[in-house]
Amino acid sequence: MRSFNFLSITSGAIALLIFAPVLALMYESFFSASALNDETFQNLAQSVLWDYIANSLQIVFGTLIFACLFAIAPAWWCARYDFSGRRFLQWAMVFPLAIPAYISAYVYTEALDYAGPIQTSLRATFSWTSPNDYWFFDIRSITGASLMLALALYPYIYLLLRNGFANQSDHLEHAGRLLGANERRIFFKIRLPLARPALAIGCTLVAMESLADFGTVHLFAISTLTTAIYDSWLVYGSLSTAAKISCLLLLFVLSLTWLERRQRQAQKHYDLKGSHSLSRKAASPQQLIIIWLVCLSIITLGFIIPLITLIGYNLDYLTENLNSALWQHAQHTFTLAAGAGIICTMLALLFNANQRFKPKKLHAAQQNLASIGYAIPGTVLAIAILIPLGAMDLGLNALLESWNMDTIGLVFSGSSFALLMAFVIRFTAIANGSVHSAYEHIPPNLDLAARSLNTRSWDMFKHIHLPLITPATVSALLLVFIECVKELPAAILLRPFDFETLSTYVYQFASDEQLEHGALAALLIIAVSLIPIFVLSRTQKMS
Amino acid sequence: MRILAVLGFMAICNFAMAETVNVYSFRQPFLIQPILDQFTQETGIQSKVIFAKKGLIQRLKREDKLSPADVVLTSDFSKLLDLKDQGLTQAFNDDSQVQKNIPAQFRDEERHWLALTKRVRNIYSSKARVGKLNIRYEDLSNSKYKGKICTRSGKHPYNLGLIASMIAHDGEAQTEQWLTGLKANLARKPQGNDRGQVKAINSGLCDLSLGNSYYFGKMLMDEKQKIWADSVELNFPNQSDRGAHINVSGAVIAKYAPHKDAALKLLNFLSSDKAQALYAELNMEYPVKPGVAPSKMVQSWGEFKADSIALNQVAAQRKTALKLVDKVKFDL
Repeated sequence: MRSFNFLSITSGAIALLIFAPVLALMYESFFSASALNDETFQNLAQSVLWDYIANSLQIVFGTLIFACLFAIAPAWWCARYDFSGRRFLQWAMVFPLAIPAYISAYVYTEALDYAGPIQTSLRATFSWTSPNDYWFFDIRSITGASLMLALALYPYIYLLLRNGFANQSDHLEHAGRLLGANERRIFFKIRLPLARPALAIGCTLVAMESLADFGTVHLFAISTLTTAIYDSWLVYGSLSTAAKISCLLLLFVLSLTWLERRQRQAQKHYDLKGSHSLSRKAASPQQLIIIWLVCLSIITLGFIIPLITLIGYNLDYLTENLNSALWQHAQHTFTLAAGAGIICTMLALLFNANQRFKPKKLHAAQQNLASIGYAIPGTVLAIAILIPLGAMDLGLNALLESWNMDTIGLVFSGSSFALLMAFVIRFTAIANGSVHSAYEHIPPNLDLAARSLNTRSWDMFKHIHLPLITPATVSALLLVFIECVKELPAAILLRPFDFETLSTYVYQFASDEQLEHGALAALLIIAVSLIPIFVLSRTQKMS
Repeated sequence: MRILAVLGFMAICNFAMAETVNVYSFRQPFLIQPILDQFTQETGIQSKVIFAKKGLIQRLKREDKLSPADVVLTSDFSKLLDLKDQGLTQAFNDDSQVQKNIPAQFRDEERHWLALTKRVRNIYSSKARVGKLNIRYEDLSNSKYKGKICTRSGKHPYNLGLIASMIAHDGEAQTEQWLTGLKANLARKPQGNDRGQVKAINSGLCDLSLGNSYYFGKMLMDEKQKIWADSVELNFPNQSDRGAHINVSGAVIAKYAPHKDAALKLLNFLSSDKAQALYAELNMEYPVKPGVAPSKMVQSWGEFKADSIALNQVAAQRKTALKLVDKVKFDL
């Protein structure tokens, strides 16, 4: 038992460490010298703040609706039906996760804009001459941004939900059938409610991501809370205003997670026999056609069109885009993302195991604390991190000076350490969500049985929990890795000298409306993000 | 752990290199790299660049005296003055080349910043639908242009600079009215960059746009974008009164520059004939050093009258300009 006191202390300390930047942020927004007389915030509150809030919320809801549309049916089909090509399709549905939303947004803007090929050829065909002659979907709108974000984010819901469905058993369906329910009723009354934890976590992730998005809304010139944070900090130069708006954003996210947990608390279900697989039915030819048609359209929109466009850009600019710097950026990105992925997953295991063995409110609170980082938009997190790290650097250098040693510069805030820390803080929540959801599915009876056999906690973790949650753990690693490769706003501010991640490199061109020159790097991001998906599809056989 | 160790080592290596100058740049690296390469060739001093469109000033502030930055390159004047006001700069020597190269109007009296290039905020107009114009910025709020104007975000430094200069000339109330009128005339919500607006004119979405002068040259030199540039006229505004609004790009030496000598050498170089000519040729900007001619293409756009108001007078109105942009909900 002693080892687990140690565990509690460790996980508590780590949770606090992860939470420290949030404290720095709160201090900055309410107690710092500039916070008390904050004219910038008052100006914003009187003019555009409410528009920003409204836009943010509309984008979150729009993204959620689109993402659910894209995710729920395919997740169910892939878990429930057997059809030719299922094995490929169920993984192909995850591919869009590899494409950052701002890249899709760029590609679709080029295609659908007034000056783009589609509208131009429409005008030529129908001899329209001005924008007043016809109506066309405006991609640079809240709906457009929601659609782009949903295309990039729906795989979160899909992945979690597919696992959720696949882990359901047949017994309840049999019961439903005995009571005379049809397929549709069973899906809406039994399957979907049972998968609600997975759905809720997926939706929460998507909501948080879309709230924190900057690249897409910025490209589409939509003012949201994140752009307000950027503006107040970087244009108005008021960190305390940025911190205040961040706290507001945080409040939204906290209410969201609270809602999600609350609605989940009421319902815990365990399958006594622990038969963790849904038996599959063969799909009828009609079903087969519908399944393929729907899934392929989603994959085409979210993956194939952006990919082909990028490949096209590359064919035009290949010689320019091929340079040695690119390979170096790729290595940096890869190393950092892998490091962050491993750390996040280990932290998630630590928090969840700790809560499992000692289900205290304190430990649940630790988890929540550690998950808050995900809600902080990258730029604000970057600053929040620089506050404590900068102080540590100053302290360390002063100490060295007092010992008459050479100063070593900004070893924390000026090195990749800061970026790694930002990744870990932001993305531990993703790993945690995935592992937590899997833990919830392990019946407590298993633990009680093991305890009655005098199994030590570590052995129970190693021999019982870990094998059961391995798929979720691998998922966690995968999700964090991809997120890190794609992460942009924190990277752009925290990267050290001569250090580019692939995202910052691509962004440099996209923001200048010349993505063509960054197309190869964009393809690399996509390729690197795809590797874990392929690995996963090989190792994690969905029987 | 191994990853951490490697990363830590890499970070330490970054600081151990000799004879380098660290540049924080608001300007795109591909714009300044050729000039920095020339600098390395002449002096043997390696340059390291970190680029961000936003946030470098805040970063400098946080890093305080441990900041590795030697030189900060900005793309507009308000940032130069911001840097100085926040105490993030140091003076360059009184007898430096900079003092001889750059006219007093384009450098700080206390030698904390210098301008490197000038750029004009032009009004582009559709060749086919509007033709060449004798236009004032003030005219853009005229209701005859309803639905005909495109621009990038009002919060972009280039537009903020223009709005601030309008406040300095016409006063806050009148500028607010102007901004409201301009917003009402927009063909679409402010978005994209200056070139994107010319592209929109080319496609027929609007007739007029605001844009910096050098983009015209850059578009003419780009195979794909030449067609956009060919469809517009470049107009120098307010030629009948105060002259066209001028913005500048510039440089400062960071307060705690670890390589101050190298930083000074870089500033001297950037203000020299050679670098000024490079700026003119590569970026189509107007050199600030007297005697260095703009590129042939830029010269072909003709002479123009520039607004001679002092830069810090305009910069003083920047906060008010921002407030107005929010107040009239220009970007929404």
